[in-house]
Amino acid sequence: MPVKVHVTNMLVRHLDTEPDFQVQARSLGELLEVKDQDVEGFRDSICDEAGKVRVYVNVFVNGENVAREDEALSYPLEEGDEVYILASVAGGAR
Amino acid sequence: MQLLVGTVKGGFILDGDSSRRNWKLRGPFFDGFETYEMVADASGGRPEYYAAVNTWTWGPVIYKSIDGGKSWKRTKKAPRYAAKKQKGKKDALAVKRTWNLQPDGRGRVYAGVEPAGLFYTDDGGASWQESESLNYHPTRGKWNPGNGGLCLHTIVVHPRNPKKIRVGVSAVGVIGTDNGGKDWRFMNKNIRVDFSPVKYPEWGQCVHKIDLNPNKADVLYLQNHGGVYRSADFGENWTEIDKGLPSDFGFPIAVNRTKPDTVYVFPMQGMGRFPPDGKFSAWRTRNAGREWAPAHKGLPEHAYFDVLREAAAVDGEEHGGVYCGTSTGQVYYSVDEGESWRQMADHLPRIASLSILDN
Repeated sequence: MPVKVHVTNMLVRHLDTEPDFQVQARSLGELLEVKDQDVEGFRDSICDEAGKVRVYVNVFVNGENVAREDEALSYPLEEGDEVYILASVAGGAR
Repeated sequence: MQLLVGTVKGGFILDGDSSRRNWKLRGPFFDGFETYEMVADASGGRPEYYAAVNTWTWGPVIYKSIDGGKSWKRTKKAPRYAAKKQKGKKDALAVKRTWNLQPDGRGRVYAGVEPAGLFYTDDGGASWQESESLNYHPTRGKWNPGNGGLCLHTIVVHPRNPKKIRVGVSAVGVIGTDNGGKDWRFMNKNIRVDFSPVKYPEWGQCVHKIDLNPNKADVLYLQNHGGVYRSADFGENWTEIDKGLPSDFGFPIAVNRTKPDTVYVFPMQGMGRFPPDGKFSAWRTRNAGREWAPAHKGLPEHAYFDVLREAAAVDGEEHGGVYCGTSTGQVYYSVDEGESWRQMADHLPRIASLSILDN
């Protein structure tokens, strides 16, 4: 059974992708790589070229935010895990 | 004629008729994301529009339009440092913003980014290449940021020889190549640094903007953090030309496109970043910087806004139009070389860039 992924509507608009999908992946990094093959720019939208999850992106795995972990892309995923990719609450300075 | 307007909350287009008196506003584009630059590349016939959109969530991206700005599509790729070069590095580079887009007139588009780097695309944004000899310059580890970040914000390509490129980096200065980017060298001779014990260092200047008239392309004009400068040899040497200005601080500089000795600056008080004594004025020289005079008929006399580095433009009409956008969302313009000004737009977000697409 694959990993279930839900992404924010902001990202749906930005990438013209679907809000809910399933991916076979053993880590967060692999999830991004696999999805990037379907939706170009997916990985780049979530993490920068240095391999860090972008500052205002949160990634919840089974309810736990793993985005700020040092090696977030190595975070292991298992069958049936539920991943939410959301924008953080930000923008007050604008 | 079109005026492309980048703001901190999306991009706009003002469509003007041939009289340049009537303008219609379209936008905002890009979902309200910060737009630091919008330009049109007309070198291939049908103009291709590019926009540098710095989303606060998903990173900086490039949008493109091939239908006059009616519809926009994100390009396949955006400028990015090579991931393999960043792996395991304590000071790994990751593009935070795109500041400047500059078509070279031959189908190539350059992009200047923060942290400071130069990229280019030869395929309309499907892929981007790094200028590695600049981006990994041996002095890079000592480069200091300006208040806006360590950004490569200005790209000047010689109109007749595209291998000659000058870029402006805050606060590193002018860096140039004469061989298409194989080698880069500092070109800050005689440019002052007020915030250093060494007044004229090889590099470390906070250059704000450079402009030229394509018909007199070896002559560059530069607004520095302190001082306005002219170079007669495409940046090899600089001469200070700010005598008579109310402040030597400002951000943009623009050269009239039909009269190459006519230049505009927008002086600001150095600390407050607003017009000296609150009286907003363009200042114009008609003799290459020997004399300056205010040009403010129609501009507000009590104003405490700024004009950011990319927010001035000139058109190619016979009586050269001059355009400036403010940090409080107004666009002012003159169709008589600065003699008189009108307001074209108001209540826009903070304006980051203006760019003209001539008819």
